[in-house]
Amino acid sequence: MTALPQLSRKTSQAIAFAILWIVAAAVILPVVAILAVMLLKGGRAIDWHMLTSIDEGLLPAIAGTTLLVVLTAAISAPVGVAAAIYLSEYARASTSVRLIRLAIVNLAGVPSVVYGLFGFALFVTLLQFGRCLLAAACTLAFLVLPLVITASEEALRQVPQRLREASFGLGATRWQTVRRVVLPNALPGIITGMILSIGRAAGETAPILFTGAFISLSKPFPNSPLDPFIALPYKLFVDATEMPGISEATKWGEAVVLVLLVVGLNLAAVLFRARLRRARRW
Amino acid sequence: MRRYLGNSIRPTIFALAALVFVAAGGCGRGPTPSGAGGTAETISQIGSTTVLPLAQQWREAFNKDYPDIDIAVSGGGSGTGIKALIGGSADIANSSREIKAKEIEQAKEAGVTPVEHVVAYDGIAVVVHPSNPLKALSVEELSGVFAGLITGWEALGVSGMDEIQVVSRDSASGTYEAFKELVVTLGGKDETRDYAPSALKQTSNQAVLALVAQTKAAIGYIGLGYVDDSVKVVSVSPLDGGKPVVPTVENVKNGTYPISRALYCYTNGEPTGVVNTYLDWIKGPQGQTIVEDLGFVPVNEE
Amino acid sequence: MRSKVQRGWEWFVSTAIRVSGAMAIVFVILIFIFLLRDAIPVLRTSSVRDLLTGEFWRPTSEPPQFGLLPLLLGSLYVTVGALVISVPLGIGAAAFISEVAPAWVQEILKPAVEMLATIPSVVFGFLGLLLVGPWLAERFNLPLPLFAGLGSLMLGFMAMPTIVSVSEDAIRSVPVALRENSLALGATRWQTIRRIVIPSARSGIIAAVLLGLGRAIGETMTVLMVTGNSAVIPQGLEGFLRPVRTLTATIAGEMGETAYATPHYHALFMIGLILFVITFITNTIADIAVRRSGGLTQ
Repeated sequence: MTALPQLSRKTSQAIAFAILWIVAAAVILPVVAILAVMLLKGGRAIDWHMLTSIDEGLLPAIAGTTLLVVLTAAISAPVGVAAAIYLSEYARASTSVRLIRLAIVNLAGVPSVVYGLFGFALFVTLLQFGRCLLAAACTLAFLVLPLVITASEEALRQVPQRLREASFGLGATRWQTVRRVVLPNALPGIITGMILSIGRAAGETAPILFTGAFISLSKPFPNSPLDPFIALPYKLFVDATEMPGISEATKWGEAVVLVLLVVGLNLAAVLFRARLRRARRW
Repeated sequence: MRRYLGNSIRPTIFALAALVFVAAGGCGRGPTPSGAGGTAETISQIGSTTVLPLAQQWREAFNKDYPDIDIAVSGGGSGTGIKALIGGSADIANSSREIKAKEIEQAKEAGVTPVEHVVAYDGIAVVVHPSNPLKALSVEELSGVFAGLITGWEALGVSGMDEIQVVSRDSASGTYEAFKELVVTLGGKDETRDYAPSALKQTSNQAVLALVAQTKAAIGYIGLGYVDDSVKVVSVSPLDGGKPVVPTVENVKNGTYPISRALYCYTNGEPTGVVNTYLDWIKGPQGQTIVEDLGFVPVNEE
Repeated sequence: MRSKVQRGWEWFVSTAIRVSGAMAIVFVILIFIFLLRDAIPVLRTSSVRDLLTGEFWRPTSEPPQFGLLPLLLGSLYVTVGALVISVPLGIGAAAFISEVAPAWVQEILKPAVEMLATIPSVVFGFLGLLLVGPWLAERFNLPLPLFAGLGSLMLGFMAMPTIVSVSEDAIRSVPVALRENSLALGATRWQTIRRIVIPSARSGIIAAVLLGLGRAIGETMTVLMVTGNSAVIPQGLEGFLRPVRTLTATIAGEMGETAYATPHYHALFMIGLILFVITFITNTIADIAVRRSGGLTQ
């Protein structure tokens, strides 16, 4: 027997659980504290003028980011959903599927600055899009693709197998089944995935640094995908580090707006997904 | 009987990969200029972060007189601007340093002819934390500090602090290059000298300012127009001796401040059309008033 | 039965779908080739040993030196520090959420962690630069408000949600029967967690840590803004309190300056390639680890 006093098992558990509660607090408290600080410092600066003014406010940045992410979603959706359909409905051989999944995991892990390098050389320079919405959106489409594929595949898999079987039983081809039975039922989940990818794209800076984001534009709102644009994350970066004469409150205000935008999008997706789960009829 | 990789995936992958590889290999020469940065009417102006606030104000004021001309302004550093000019994604490259010989070669290869326009003059101010008693330094001492040869504040006659924290720009910056040329290499006398690896490389003048303002042992350099109350300015005595000179617009104008340089806009060939209008405007009275307002030194009328 | 047109259409669509499936692989190969193409030329002027062990990163000197060691160590310090923060917190939070927390706490904690995951990196950089860094520097009398440890702190919170969610999945996929058997044998809940659940979830937890590591090493904007960007080799524990320069910040900071096809340009692509390879390896190992643990419940 040891000479050290043994803690009873109950005591060990109490201590361990207490530590875990502390861990949970350590995770949550900084987040809450920082959000509170941000709102305190930046809330002052946010007013109608700041949000909607074209010259001094965030309207061009908000509009630019919105157009950018919508275009990104439009580009990544076809490839992403089709790839998800392949994985969920068509794929049989396990090796290719494993390779594809491995590729998806790796695409998700590529550093954002590497995407920026890649996008600049391919879309801006090689394909000569120039620095514009299109080049930036294509670059971001690569970045969000894993997210779209994963979320769409999950949505497709949620559709019960018996619906497919019923369709086959009636003589439908695979594509007919996908198009008329599986996809419509998976659509809400797929849309959730698109909203998540939009939220992700809205916050990225490194990929758009060299592919189309600008600071000051004569045409603050891009008229075509080949136009340059102003984006919120890049504007925040520049205002926080490069621009003289910006008040503290304004900087914090911009950060708050960006966080609200991104968190809002993700929240929308989560709530949408929760409502779907409750409304599911099977 | 199912084949091992039973479907058409594998050949598809290889075909596509091969296609891509061939395409990627084939386009290896480098960026070719497409003429203009964007649409015919959009002037893309990219580069120096020193010039950035100038460029932004220029654009705003210019558009009041010429609302139909589109200009897009961005930063990234002088090197970024020149690279974009060569690559064709910029019409005007803002730069706080002269274009390098290597870049001119690159431009020639890409069929681009960079033409230089001086748009303002600028002093580079050496700044320290407001609590730092340091008053003046010579160019030699500055070179030693920024090259990492002088590492302690004691050696400069300042007690109470140990290590000098050198704050610099990063290599995309024209200010970085200009300061290197004028100070670190002793005006070109010692080309082997370079910034100390331990120098903290910041992305913009504003970032350097903010860091020096918060760090008691820091010393850094910023464009004259960026100096404000949060830091203290150090007078500099020139290489060939003489009294220390305070960095002011006057002293840059009359040439007594040793760390002065020109700010440039580069274009591909002689500017025509809207780019020409814009550049003339910048060099003209309205553009130069803005230069003065922001704390830079205007170009003399010729 | 089906007409020729219908069959043709069916073939076309299913081919298009198969091609889309393959696109993920094509894209990864594409990025790799592209990086490789522009990285290899640096080996004309610098040997692999020079690159990996060279102590000085001086791309603009005459002659230029491309020693990656300070950058590799800078990334290493920041990443290891981030893991030191995010792994205990992450695994602990995951265990807490799945085994200990009452339902109402789960309802708060899970969304909070998910929200944390969505906060953009530039915002973390902003927070570090304007709030946390100066506060820490003042409180603990640090020489500078920008340093490696600050990067680790911010990255720790950025990587943590990844670790939490993947670990939580792994823990949840441990069969209920295992837990019940343990409790039936008289073990306390804590003993069950410590000795049965976590070890069973080991592969998934390792995968979580590796994914968190991949996230931390690849992060750009945050480290660019808060680590000081000083390319020195960090020494000992003190190195955490001094500025460093990471691989990612080097690319982002110097990318603009380099003219096409100069040794500096190729060196930056070499850094990009190294980052890609590192994250590829960690992601692949994580993938294998997840498979070993029997996959994740979804």
